[in-house]
Amino acid sequence: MNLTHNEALQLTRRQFFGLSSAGIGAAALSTLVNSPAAASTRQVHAAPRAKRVIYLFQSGGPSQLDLFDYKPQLRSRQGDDLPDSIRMGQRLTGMTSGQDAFPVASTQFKFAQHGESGIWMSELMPHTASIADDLCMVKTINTEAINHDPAITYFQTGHQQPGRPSLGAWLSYGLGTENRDLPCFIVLISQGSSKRDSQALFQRLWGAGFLPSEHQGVNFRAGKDPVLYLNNPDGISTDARRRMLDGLAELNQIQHDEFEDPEIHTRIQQYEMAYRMQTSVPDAMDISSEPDDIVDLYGPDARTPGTFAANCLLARRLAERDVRFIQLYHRGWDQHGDLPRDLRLQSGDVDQASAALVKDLKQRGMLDDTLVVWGGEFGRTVYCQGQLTEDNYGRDHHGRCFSIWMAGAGVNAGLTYGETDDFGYNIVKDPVHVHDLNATILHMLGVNHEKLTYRFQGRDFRLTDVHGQVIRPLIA
Amino acid sequence: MQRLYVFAIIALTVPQGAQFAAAVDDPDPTGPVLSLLRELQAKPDELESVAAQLQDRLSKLKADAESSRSMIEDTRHALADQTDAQTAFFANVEKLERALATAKDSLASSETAALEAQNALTELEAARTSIAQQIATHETTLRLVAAARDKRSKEATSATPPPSDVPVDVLAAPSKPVGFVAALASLKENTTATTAATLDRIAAAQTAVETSSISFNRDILPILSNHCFACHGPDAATREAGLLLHEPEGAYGHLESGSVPVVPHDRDASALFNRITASDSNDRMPPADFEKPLTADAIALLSRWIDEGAPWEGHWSFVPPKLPKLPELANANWSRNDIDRFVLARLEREALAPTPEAAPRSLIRRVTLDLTGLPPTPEEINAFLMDNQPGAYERVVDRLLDSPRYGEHKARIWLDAARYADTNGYHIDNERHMWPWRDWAIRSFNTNMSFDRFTVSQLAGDLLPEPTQDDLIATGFNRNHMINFEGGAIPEEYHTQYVVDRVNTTGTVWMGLTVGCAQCHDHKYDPISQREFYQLYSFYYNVPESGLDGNDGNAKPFIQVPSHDEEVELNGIRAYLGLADLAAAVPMPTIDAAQDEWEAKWSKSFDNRWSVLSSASVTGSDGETFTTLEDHSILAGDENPAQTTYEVTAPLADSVVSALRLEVLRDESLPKGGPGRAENANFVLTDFEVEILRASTDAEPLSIEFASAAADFSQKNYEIAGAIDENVESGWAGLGDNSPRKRMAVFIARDPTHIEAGSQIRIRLKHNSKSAGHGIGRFRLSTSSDESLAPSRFGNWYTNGPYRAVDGKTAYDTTYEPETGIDLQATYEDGRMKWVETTPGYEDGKVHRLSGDIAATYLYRTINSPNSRTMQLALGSNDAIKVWLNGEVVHDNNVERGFTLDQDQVSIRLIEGENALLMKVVNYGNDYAFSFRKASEQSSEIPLNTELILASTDRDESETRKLRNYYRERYSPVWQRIIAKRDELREREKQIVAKIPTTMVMKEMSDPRDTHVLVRGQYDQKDKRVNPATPNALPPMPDGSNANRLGLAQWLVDPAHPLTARVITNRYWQHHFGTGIVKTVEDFGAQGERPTHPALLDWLATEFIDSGWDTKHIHRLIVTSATYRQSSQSTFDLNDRDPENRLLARGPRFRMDAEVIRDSSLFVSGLLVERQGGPSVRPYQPPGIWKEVAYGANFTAQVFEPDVGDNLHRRSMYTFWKRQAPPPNMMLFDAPNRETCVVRRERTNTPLQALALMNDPQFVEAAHALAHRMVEDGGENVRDRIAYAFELATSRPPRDREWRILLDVFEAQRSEFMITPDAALTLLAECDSTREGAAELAAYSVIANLILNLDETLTKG
Repeated sequence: MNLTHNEALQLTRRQFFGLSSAGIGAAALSTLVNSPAAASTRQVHAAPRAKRVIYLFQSGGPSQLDLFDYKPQLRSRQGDDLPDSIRMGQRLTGMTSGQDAFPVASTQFKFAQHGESGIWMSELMPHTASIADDLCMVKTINTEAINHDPAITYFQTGHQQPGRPSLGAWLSYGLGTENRDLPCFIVLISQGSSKRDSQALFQRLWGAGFLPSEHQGVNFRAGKDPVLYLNNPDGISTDARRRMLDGLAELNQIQHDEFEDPEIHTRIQQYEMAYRMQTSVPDAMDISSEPDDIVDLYGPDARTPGTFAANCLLARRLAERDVRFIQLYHRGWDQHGDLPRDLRLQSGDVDQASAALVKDLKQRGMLDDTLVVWGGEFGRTVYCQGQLTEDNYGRDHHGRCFSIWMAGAGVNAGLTYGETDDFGYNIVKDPVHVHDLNATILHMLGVNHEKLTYRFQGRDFRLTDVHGQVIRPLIA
Repeated sequence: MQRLYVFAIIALTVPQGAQFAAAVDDPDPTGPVLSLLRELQAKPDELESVAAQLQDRLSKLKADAESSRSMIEDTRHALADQTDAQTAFFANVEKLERALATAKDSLASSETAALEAQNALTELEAARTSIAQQIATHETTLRLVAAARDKRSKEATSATPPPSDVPVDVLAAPSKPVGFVAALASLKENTTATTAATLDRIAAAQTAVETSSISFNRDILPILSNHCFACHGPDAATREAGLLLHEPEGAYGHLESGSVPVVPHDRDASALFNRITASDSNDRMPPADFEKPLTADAIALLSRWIDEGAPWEGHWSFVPPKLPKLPELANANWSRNDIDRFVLARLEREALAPTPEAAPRSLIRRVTLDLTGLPPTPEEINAFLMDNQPGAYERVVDRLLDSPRYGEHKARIWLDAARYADTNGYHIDNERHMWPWRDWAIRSFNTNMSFDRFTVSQLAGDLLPEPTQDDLIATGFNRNHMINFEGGAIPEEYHTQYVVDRVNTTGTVWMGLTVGCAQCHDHKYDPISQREFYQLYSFYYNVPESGLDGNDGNAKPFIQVPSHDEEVELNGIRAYLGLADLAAAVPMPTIDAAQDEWEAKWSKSFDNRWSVLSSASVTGSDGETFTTLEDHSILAGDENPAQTTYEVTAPLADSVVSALRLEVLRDESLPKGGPGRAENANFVLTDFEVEILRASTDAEPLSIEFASAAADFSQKNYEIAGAIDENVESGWAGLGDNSPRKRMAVFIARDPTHIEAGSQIRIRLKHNSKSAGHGIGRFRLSTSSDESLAPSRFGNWYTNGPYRAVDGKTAYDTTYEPETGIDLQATYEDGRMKWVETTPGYEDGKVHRLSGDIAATYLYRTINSPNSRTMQLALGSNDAIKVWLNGEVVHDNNVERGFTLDQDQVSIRLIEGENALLMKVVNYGNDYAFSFRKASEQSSEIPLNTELILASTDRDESETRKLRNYYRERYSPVWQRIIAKRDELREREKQIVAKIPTTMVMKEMSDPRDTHVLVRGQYDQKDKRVNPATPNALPPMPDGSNANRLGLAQWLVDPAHPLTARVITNRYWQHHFGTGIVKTVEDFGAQGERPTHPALLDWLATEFIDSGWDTKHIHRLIVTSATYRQSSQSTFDLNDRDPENRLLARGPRFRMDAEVIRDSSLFVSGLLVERQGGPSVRPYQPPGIWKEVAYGANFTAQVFEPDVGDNLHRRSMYTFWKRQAPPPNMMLFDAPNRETCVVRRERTNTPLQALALMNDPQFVEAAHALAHRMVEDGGENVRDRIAYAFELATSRPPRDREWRILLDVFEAQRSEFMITPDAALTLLAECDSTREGAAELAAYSVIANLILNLDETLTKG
């Protein structure tokens, strides 16, 4: 018998899970700090600012050139072919690689600077503009992926090909939960208003990969069963369920007495937690107790379950309940054509609610330990896809630079980080790679991205593979 | 096949032929006989003569019958001859194909040999360089050693020099690459003195294996691998300081610095010890920034290892397993088979005792779940309890191994390894169809296919000498990977992923190696270089597939998999179709005679139609001369220019010219007898132009335009139409692959031309093709005045509409007034609708937009035909279209579709004179358009080209056949029946073929792709070219095997392969015990776990091989062992000592897999539908799960529609697996998402599992069904009923205490439902029950739900 350290930890971990009410990830943490005694979140890192993350993922690739990365020089180059000196023969997607020309399309939207920080934003994001001074705007995020599936898989799992655990699963594994009645990692999905089919999502994006499946994200859905199979069948009262569970626990206990299998105790505990979730989840999802002015802050959509606005409000409620990682996906940002029309619709879906979330967290004092991230899997090209006309254009995928913003715990608010060239095509200063972003997010949570590893197929895997640097300037 | 033909000939053709032969001469042979009899009665005096006549008549009939019979015989013989000839022909083809294949093979192998030679040369060069470097290093070492020795001897110490010679076999540790041993041996020869010290230390290390308490493999390798190999291991690219610790030569050799990493028995002299214990953090290894510091325990172990002589072993899993000696045991009675001896030996060493055997009920439950994936029934349990004869348990095992459920259960486990799914994965995630492969896997387990055959079939079934359909289906294993279809993705990038996936999967499933680590760089821990990864890659890179092919259904290559019934039916159909072809050539005397008559009649009328041009004058353009022969034909001679125009001028006798005929004739003076002037006797007539030179000479010549042309034969791509089109170079040629023959062509004028008397005709035969010298050799021209040859004339289009309607169907179905009769002057709908003549008219063959949305529009025109004839129209419409001719519906296509030209082909029958054509085009919404075109028309009964054949007197075989077919199809009722049947069967064949499922397979490209090492694994970064080969650290491929997939598969199951048998039996062990003997079933490399029972694993592996890779045999051995039969009861102490039961001091106990849990619930409740195989099914899942993430309805498998009926209750292995959003109640219980290969599932215990088991409609429904079962079959009282359900679920009756708990819940629940009857009815509504006693039934349902949630129900224990 020669268990490795890691395996021994997992063993105890499994038994630890159902029984402990707090600090569930402690066992995994001990591997991060190499001291079993230091099994507490607080001791992970000198001073982790963030306790939880709300990740507002904009699936499809929002156009940085029409939202955040202001390039006034492009106006005078409208329709010109993108110079080879800028494009440098980089690979393009199969959708535009056959185009004869790459005409520059300048944005149709007006930009202005906002707040004391003077962060640039387009007219499509008026509410977000109002929280400019709370934001850390990164204009130089970059990725090698040029298509949706590999790009979004890269952002969420640190690898372009399927098979790795997602960011939330890593955090569940590494930090565990602080709420014994709700999952540690919750996913909320909304559909965009743009007129084209939304790009697909995949359950692997919130999957556990090779981590134990208890770390996979739990999709909270609008409707009767926010969590799959949450509700008792019609006709089964709460009393009936309680009675059934009591009988079940008693019988399972008899089984335990005979077989001495600790797994049976765990199962008893899991049924208890399931029972608690039957109350705690609807409670978390029920916004009827929210005052009107709070709901109004998130905008009219907030009253329609399943919208991005409603999901933002839920995200705040889940954050209040100490859910570790709340992942939103808003679909529909893939503007290959009809960008002016569709981008306006998409921005309308998210602008007010994203800003409201930050404001709401702030007024509750929760922004100090909650990290909010807003961004997609890549940006969009400066050149037009399809016909460029006076009032219409489209943009293909562009991974070489694009913008995201972060707010809350630990971020350097008011900062605009990184510079792109006059075409918004290449980075000229301070690049932030996908791995860097993930390393930085982990750092803000007090986790050393090089130490959060899991042994699989003989290798110690981590979210950032063998890459990634914490970008210190992003952190206050 | 031949027998089938003969059978079918007799069954189908002959009876019909006989019937035909008897019927043709006299439509009713009995009629005359009857009338004769009547005469006989009326006039008895004429009896004699009538009797004689009757006699004659009868003999004649008899003779007819005889001749019919002999004709049948002849037919039969003729057919037999045909069949023989065909067989001989196919045999020849086959022979040729074989010869071709052999030639190709030898070409390929000589190419491969050349390449291999080149590679070998490169490697040799590299080896030479490396040896030279090593020599240099060792010389340096030698100098340093010598210096040190000098220094030491000067210091007058007593150090003795190391022994100077070490036997070579000491070096040949099994794990060492042969190449290195050889290199080292030669190195030793050259530099014995320089390496002596290193070799000495290696020898010491080898010896220490015997004496040391430390196991290198168990204790040291994991530390070195985990903490050191990243910089000092197999990956040459990241190696630091020239130090390699994965080979003894590195560990005991000299570094450039002169220091030695490991000196046996001398920790202070060992650089390794000094560096791991260095106090200066800059010197200490591993470096701090590596983030993997050594624990104090590890340092202690390494130190002790050096102290005890630093024993070194080859990596255990790379040494082929040998049948181990059976251990000596203190307790000799416990073991049931040899497995137990190894387990008990370990327990005795640990001072542990095995747990007593499990109770019989536990035992039969455990083994039934393990072998079939379902619990035993109470009847099976009772039968076992009642069987007191020895071997009762073994009989149960045999029964289970024979059960078809066994194959399903084992195949289900294999699906994870094979990453089986029903969608293509990646972005769009369309549906695919691989279930024929799944069915194959089930069959293979049930027939206990030997594992080596199972392996070869899946990896290379297509390359077997005579692959069966099953062999081909099996290769789908390597096509189960994901396939992309994202719009902008780059095909090569994904093609690379597919091949990488195959390599990784083979590595995991058969070799237990993480070969995928070497995709981007040399493996960090195991001896697999990046180059070797791509050598494996190249085995799988020769599939004719494309990178982005996951659009819909299966991606190429795939095969059709007909069911048995389909195959039988297709064989029958194809036999008949072959027969119909043969029958066409068989003479049918009566009909053939009728044909002769018909031919004579037609050729006469045909001849009458033409007037041969005589007294013509001819000129050529470049030096030819022309001779007019007696038959008025013209023969060209002398010069044969490259291009030329013949100009013929002749007086005209007729007053009308409606067509011209050109006969191209043979002549002895021409090459090969003509008819062309080219060497091969061919000609190309590029243009045929005709003018009338009017009698009044000053008038312009009148040129004749042609509407169409026909020829008795046109060479492919040289159609006759080319002679009258605008293109100067296109033209008519008549040779083809036939032997040279005379040819005939007819040119039909657009309008019959009336000519004043005395006019002349001028004809130009132009030869302007690229083929030089292809003039016509001899020809004759005729004209015809027959106006019936002229084409029909079309009137202008009139339109009427649009008539709007609520929807397209209504518009189509409504009879608007224009349909009721054509009156171009009439107005409809209060004058709003009327006929409008189109200006400019709609041009034929073009798309024309119509206006209106959801409406009908009418179009009308006349067709004026010179005689009654048929015409073919080609129509396009968006959407529906209906056509009337002269008031009759001739086409009726109510369809919603996009527009393309010529979508519908319509044949119409015109009457002589004016015909009225009405079309109704209906729009279902959006685009609205139509097109109209005459495809062809036949001016006479017989098509022109057939007529030309008719006119010819010396037909060749193909012409004779064409004519015969033509005649028989029209005039022979027997033949018409054969044709009708043939067409019907062809249609049926098409339908069957369209319905036959397909499955993806592997296939080799005849022209293999070049494989290159890909730098950092990037698809577009190609480095050196490599050939298929297996890794060097493993034994070579067996002699005589090819470097292809077949060779790879044979190599994997070669008894000399150290990994396969171990890896597979280890996973079989995992099936039963939950954990493998090697826990990391997917990794037998340096980073993997060591086996807990190495000798047992070797014993199982050798037993597996020796049994002929008999899978059932291994399962039987495991489940009949005493080890397996132990009770799974544990104790606090044992849990503490061995929480994972790795020592096997108790029986296995763990939660069952997702599929087993669901299947068992359905089984226990009586819902399970046990139908084996077939397409995947869609049982309940919460709504919206697909839609929430899916792309859009334009693709398949994007919208979930649950099945109904039986398909809701099939075993879970048949549940439709969508990779993007797999079945949730499977995923919650740790099923993998099937994106990549998985051979070990996690086993978690979560609240979401509890929610699913309590509330998932599938489990709720199972509880209802179980409640019904309790009431109906469980006896009369509550106690019995509860006990019944409890036993169904747990395989044992409840104890009193347990029963009381259940009863309490039941009573309380029943009381609650008595007070709230609505709740009881609501609960039961889902199973359609509203009868009396709902409260009680609902309470039973709650109890059933509780029982189905018991830990014991979910656990195999």
